[in-house]
Amino acid sequence: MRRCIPAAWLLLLLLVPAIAWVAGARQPLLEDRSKEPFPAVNTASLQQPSTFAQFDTAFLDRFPARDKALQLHADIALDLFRDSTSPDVALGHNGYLYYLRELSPCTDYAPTGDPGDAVDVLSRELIATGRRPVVVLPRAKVFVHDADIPALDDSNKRCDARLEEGIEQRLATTPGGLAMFAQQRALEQAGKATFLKTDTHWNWRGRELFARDVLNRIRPGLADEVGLQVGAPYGRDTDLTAMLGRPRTEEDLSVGATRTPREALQHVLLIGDSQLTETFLVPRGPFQPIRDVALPGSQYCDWGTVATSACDDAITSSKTIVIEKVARDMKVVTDTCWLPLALTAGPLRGTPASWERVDGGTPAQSTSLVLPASGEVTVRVRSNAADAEPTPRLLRLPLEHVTPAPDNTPGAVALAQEPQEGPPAPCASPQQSGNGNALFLPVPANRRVSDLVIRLTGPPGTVMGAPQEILLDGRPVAGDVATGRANH
Amino acid sequence: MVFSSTTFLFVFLPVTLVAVWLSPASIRRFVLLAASVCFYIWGVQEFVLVVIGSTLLDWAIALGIRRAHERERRTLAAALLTLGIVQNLGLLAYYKYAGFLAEQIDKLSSWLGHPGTLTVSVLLPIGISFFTFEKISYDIDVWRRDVDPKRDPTQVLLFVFLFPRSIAGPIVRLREIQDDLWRPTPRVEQISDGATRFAWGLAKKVLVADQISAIADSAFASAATGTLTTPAAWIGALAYSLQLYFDFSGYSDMAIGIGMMLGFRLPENFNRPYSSVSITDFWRRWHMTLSRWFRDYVYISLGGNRHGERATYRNLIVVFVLTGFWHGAAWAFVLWGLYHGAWMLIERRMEWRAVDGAVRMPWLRRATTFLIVLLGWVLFRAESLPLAGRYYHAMFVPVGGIPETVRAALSHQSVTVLVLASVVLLLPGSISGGRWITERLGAIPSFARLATVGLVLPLALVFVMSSTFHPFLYFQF
Repeated sequence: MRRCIPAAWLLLLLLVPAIAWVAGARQPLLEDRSKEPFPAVNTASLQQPSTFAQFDTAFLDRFPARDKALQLHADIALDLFRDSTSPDVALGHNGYLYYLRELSPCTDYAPTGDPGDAVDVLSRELIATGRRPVVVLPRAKVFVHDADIPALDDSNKRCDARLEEGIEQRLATTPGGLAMFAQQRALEQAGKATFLKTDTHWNWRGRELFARDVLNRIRPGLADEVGLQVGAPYGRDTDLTAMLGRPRTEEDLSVGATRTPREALQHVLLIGDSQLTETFLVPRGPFQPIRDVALPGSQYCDWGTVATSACDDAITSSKTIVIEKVARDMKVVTDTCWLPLALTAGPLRGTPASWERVDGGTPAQSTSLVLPASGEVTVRVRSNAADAEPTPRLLRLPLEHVTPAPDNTPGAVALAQEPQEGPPAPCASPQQSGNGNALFLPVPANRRVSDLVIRLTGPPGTVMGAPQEILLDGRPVAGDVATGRANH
Repeated sequence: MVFSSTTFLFVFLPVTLVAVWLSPASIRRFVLLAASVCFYIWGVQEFVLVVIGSTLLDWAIALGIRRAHERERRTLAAALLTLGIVQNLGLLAYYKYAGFLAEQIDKLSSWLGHPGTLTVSVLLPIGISFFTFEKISYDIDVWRRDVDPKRDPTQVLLFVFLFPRSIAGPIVRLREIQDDLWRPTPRVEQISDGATRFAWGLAKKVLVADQISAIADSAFASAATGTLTTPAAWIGALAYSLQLYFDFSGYSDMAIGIGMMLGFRLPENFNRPYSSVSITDFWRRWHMTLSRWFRDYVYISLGGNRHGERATYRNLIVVFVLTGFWHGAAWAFVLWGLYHGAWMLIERRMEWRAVDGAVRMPWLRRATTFLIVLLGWVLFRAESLPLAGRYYHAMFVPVGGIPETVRAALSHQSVTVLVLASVVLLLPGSISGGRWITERLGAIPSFARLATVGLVLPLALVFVMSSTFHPFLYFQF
């Protein structure tokens, strides 16, 4: 009988999950994706290798004991070897975990252009349109709470630190920018951690700081007016432990508002990432979400909806825009900032400038531009002011007449940058259509307009009007803006 | 389907085992054949029809050879044998080497000033190198009258498709399992030993090979980016040498174990190869069924050592070039085969061909042999000559430090496993105990067997289930 034990044990282990499944046990959702469906079985599908791979994934997604296996594997790796089970999570000291993808801007997620210029231009442009922006790109945990950090790739860390410091410095000097790092560091150095130990997000202290700063930027004194306060403790399911396959709860304090503002706030839009949603949108402890209490009627868009234009109406109708994105995702900001800029900059007008062909076409310089038969011109804008200025500018490139496509659909003009020196200008419109509309090309502070060579592509015969130069000096462009920079 | 996938472990294997055990002996081979075909379809889909057709051709050819023998028509028998070999090698040539050949022709024509665009893209069916050799051995064995051809085609189909070894060996000859093909009869002792052997193999694959693979992968990736340093190069080469052994021998253990549970006794494939005292010794211990195949069907057919020293050397080189080419359609594999063949010649010439432990300074012999093998594995793993060149450069031109990618792979767990695996594998069997554990199952006290299956198996299964866990915080925007 003893001879049978190994075979019986093997069979039991192999069959237990199937028996558990038949008995109704199901695997919870372990990864941030929906479960793979089982493939259709037919003659055609059986000839596809993907069918079998799909079956493997679907089966594993429904494997009842998988969460237990992951837990056990994580216990062995973490407790026995003190190794992380995820290449994206580093084990720090004193129970702290760090998300290594925070360093990705220097590896596989590099921003296009200078993110500091992007936040500067966007914030100033929103102010120019009469809006109140609050732009914040909070720095990563690895830089804010660095007391417990393990040994990391120093070159990556130094490189990302440089990028994030650059953004922070710009936010500190940009009208509408919110730089939080100095306050966070002061708290950290006083032994008051602002991040959760086992999560990528702030703890109550970080959230309270962020909420207070944002509310007071929306309207001075608003944080106290709505009774922003720290409340009862609650258990927080933390994201980094889930990534390790060993979900855990960490105790945190809730932060909330207790009163609605005395005076209603009109047209507030929150565009944000998880730090913003965790602070303003998620109910914690006894509190309702801060947005519901302190900013009633405000709208929220995530960056995905911004990119797909699902947030266009909210952007154009907004009076106050809070823009938040974790600094490690600075690429999202540089890739997407053209959209809110183009949506809101339409009414802005500025000083006339002229076109200069750099592709040998004629006339070499003119106040209007006609796309030739090839449908393509390479040009730069000639400023009537200084070529480089210490203040950012916005070039408005009007589409006076766009030749319709042969099927009578509206034609479109595309803009591609070919800078002579330095990175591409941030937040430039990649494409625009319709007579009377315009493409926008920001000129960051101290950049030469003449460096920003662009290639315009569109239907032959399309007429571009005289470019206009709008100074983004941190003040709204008042009244009739048709006369440009003198009208501030 | 690989043995360490969840679909195989938790669906295919238990269902097949139960079905075979519960089915009447008379239909057991049909159940097993159906399961084996399903197993193979999982990896190659419609190519299975080609294998079935080719196998039935072998079945018919073998019957034809015997009939020709009975009628003493030697020429016809030889012609049929040639047909069998050609159809098998033709399959192998088309599916495995057509792309490589086209690439070489393209390069040659470019070199001659006639740049062409000859590209042939053929999907390599899994296991084709293994079952092609088995089918050829069947034709030759019948021709040599070493085995009787099977009248029942299902037996030949089962011989080729038998799933435990259809995709990665051991390379079996019909005569080794022919008694079991007709009526597989798993006995309790065999099932029990097979379960233990399977558990042991799974543990070797999942708990050892997979744990150190990241070290080797990161070292070769660093070589590709030009950041590899000397210490990292040697650590990576050691890791790859151990990974390859534990992966392949683990797979063979699983195949042998499953075979035992199904009533088959498959041949051993490894015998502590890194304890070898010479390269000749190494090839008697590493992938033994492949070495045996080349010895019996190529080396001896070429004349072996019967026609003088020069012919022997030529035969050895031919065998090792073919061995290299069998492993992959790339010049790196050919060079790897030549490298081993050259060492075989040197050993033969210098009379260093010791094949057992009775040599002077056995420790030095073992260390030297392992070093030679390890250097060869770099060529094998690199798969391209430029990458191998960069790797060797890093090994022999001193550059200090450890690249970040390799450092990241050197987790506490992988280093612990690497050290333990080195100790178990590189020490002589009598000291490390590895031989005692892996090869003398019958002598292991039952509690040790139970401990192996009781503790190691669930642990290995836990690692299998966790291996594909890829959570992510945010959808990349």
